[in-house]
Amino acid sequence: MRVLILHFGKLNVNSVIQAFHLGEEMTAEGIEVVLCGKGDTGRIAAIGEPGFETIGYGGLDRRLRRWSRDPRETIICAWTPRELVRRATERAAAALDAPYVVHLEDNEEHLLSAALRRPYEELGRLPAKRLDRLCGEDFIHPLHYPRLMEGAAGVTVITEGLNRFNFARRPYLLAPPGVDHERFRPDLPPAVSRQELGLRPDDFVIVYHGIGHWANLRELFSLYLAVRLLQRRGRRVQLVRLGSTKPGGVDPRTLQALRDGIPDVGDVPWREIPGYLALADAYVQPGAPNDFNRYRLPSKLPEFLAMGRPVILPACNLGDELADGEQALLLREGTALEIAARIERLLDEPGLAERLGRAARRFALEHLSWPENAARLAGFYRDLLASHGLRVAA
Amino acid sequence: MEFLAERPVISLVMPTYETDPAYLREAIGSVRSQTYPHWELRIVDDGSTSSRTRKAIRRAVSRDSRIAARLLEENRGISAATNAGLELCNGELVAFLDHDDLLTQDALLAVARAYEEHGFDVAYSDQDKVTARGEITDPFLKPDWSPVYALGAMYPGHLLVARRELVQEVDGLDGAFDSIQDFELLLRLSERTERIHHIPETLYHWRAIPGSIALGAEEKPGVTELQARAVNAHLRRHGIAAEAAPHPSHPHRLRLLPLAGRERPRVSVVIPARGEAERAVAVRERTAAPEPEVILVDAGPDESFNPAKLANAGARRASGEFLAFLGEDTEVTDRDWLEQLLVHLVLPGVGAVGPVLTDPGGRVAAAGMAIGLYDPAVPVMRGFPADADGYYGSLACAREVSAVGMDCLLMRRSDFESVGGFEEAYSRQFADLDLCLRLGEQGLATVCAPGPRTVSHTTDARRREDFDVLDRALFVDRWWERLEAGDPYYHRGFLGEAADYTPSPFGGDRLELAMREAAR
Repeated sequence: MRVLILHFGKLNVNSVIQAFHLGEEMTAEGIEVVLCGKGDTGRIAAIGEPGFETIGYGGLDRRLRRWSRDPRETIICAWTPRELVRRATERAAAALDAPYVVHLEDNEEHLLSAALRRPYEELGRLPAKRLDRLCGEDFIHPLHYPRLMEGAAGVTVITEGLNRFNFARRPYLLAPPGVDHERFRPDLPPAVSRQELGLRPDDFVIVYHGIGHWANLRELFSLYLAVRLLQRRGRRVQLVRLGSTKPGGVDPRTLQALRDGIPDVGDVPWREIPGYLALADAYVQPGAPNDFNRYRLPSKLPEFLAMGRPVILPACNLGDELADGEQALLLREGTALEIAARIERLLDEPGLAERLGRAARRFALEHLSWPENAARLAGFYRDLLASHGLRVAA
Repeated sequence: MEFLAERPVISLVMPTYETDPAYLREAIGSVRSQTYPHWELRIVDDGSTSSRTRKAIRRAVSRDSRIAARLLEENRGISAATNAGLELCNGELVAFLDHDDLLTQDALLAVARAYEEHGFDVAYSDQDKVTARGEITDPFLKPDWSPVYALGAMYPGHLLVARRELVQEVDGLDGAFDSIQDFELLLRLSERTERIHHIPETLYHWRAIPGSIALGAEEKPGVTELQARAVNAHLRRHGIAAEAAPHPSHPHRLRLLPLAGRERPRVSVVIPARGEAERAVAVRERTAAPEPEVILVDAGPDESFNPAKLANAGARRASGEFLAFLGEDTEVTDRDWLEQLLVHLVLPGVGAVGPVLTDPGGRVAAAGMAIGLYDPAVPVMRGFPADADGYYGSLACAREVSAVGMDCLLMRRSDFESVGGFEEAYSRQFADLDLCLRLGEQGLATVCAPGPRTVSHTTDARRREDFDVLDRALFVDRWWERLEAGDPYYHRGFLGEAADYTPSPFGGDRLELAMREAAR
């Protein structure tokens, strides 16, 4: 079996971490995996050295021509229905006569609506040409993406809620991210000393990594503010930030003022992230249980849990499976004041942080595994290929 | 079009009288070229003596089966003619179109879309003017439904649309108010429904020619008096103890005055301060009898100054039914200042009132606050002469705003308690704006009144000292979605930076604005 993964992003973005691990596990099982992403394929080195092939979109058509002369049982994984991926998927499916699976990891309708600040239904009413311009290649296109979903042989979702967008009720598989329990473990030594980052030994440190942009800026804003409010109350809390932050829409002066004094390490290759996470006393995934968070599961959450520190996260998704106050602390509103209150609870309640950390690690070991996820996914692909073969034969 | 589940028929009613056939043809042409096809046009000629007008009408009827006309033998006035037109209507919605005005090409599509999305009973759109030579001028970008503002300025204007059934229920237009008949109708409709929707798009070009109010407020004499009669009748029907009187300086503007002989309810004045706050405390002597309870809450030398905390402490000590919060640098000079504010607080749905705040030089310091995600809180009309009309009466008339500051803010004690007072997590600023937005969540409006004369002596140095970026961030964090949606009383078609009603280059195209803001 050959699996062609068509990813929407550059090969070092967070979302590729999942594709990377699934690719590694399937390759180990003898499956040929090819991952196609935007731009320089060498970027994947930030995550690791893959045992499978990576290609750029520039070389995709050439590859499809070659494969069409050498047909093998191939399944295409459209990693999100975004325009770049949709176009490539439809080309690949036609060229190879291969079935495709759409992988959903976000509420794409919400993302488009949030970027353009108009209700999705209203956007759907715009003329096609205007939509072409607004949606570009990085968003779904309201007129095209239902057709992609309709033509899929199957759908994989990282949260149950995302199956709502499986309009044609195709076979689906829940494929949440896992975590490498060895790479992310409680006893890792920090990559840098606290002193190097200007932190005091008794600071209560939160580490947050990942890009801040229009989709999650509201949440990141709350996290920055929570820390700054706690500092104003005299609490020795500090946030260490990894990854870039792009202001958009929100008043940039205010955002910059919040970021002043927060140690900002900048972009760090993913393989070095565990060492920075090891600096932390706790982790916060900011956000409210809303239309954005209800449908996503950031890959950093399994990583947080596996590190064996207390985790504060929205009361949805993985938060639905974690007992509040026993395995994690949950956010109901996601505001800065609420995040600050949760952190203060960790500071003030003796033994709570330690208890939550142990329970988090236990949860990761029991529920978040790459090999198991990849095996289920490969089985799902095989079933779809088998039924596709039957349809073709018929 | 294909996205509309409901496609209601919209009946346009157009009374004509001695209409220039060229304008009439243009007006009818603007209807016939609508992208939304489900309309009917009902023309009623109000006894024109000009055969050219009637000929133009007959020709229009013969050309399009959706057009019907009635030719009255004698001139009965615009309301009677419009009512005669209403009798010919079959649509679910009726819209009013003057005989020489123009609809934009997508006007009725925008109405149908808004009707499907919001299910309104009444709607009005933005408008501009069209000159005799066809030039488009004077865009008027309006706020969302603002019933208090409508008491002072006939701002809703065109395009006015209503459910036909509701218009029938109130017996259509009233001939006693010819020349402001559609505004008077809106007042009566507003007594039957709260579902009044603003369509934030320019759908109507109002013809500005001699004899039309569009050209100037003095083109039709006696309008302001008629406007006052309509508003006073409306206030009486509501049982509101206030009277609308023509503004002394600005035509077509009314000011609300308290009815004489009414006893003022007990008001407690709360002043959070860093010391004596002499100017503010002087209200005790300067206020007309009965003397209000004045509570000065001093931070004391050892405590940091937190106005929200101090104001809450003062409110707990207060005994009044109403609470007036004054800034430590605020000076109120009018003896009847409380009455001037209270008269707006008795209006239905009003939760807080503050005056236009001026600097010691008589320039506006803030006529309420405009809110937005990019510019979280901007004083409206800052730097304008306080006695100016503003943007369509925004300084001369009381009107709804998103928030007013604690420099001078009057509210019911019961409302203050029901929203939990000021949020004390703010250290210096924004607790007042936060309070106003929480009132808004409970359906209570905040009003900025043109008076009393209220001077803020806050110096720039003090302002800088009090600025706290964490307060600003906390305000953004607590109200992000609300700020992102834009200020309902300050059109998104204006630039937000200065809140001085400067149109943005993208006009009312919210999508383009969103893209521009996202790019910033």
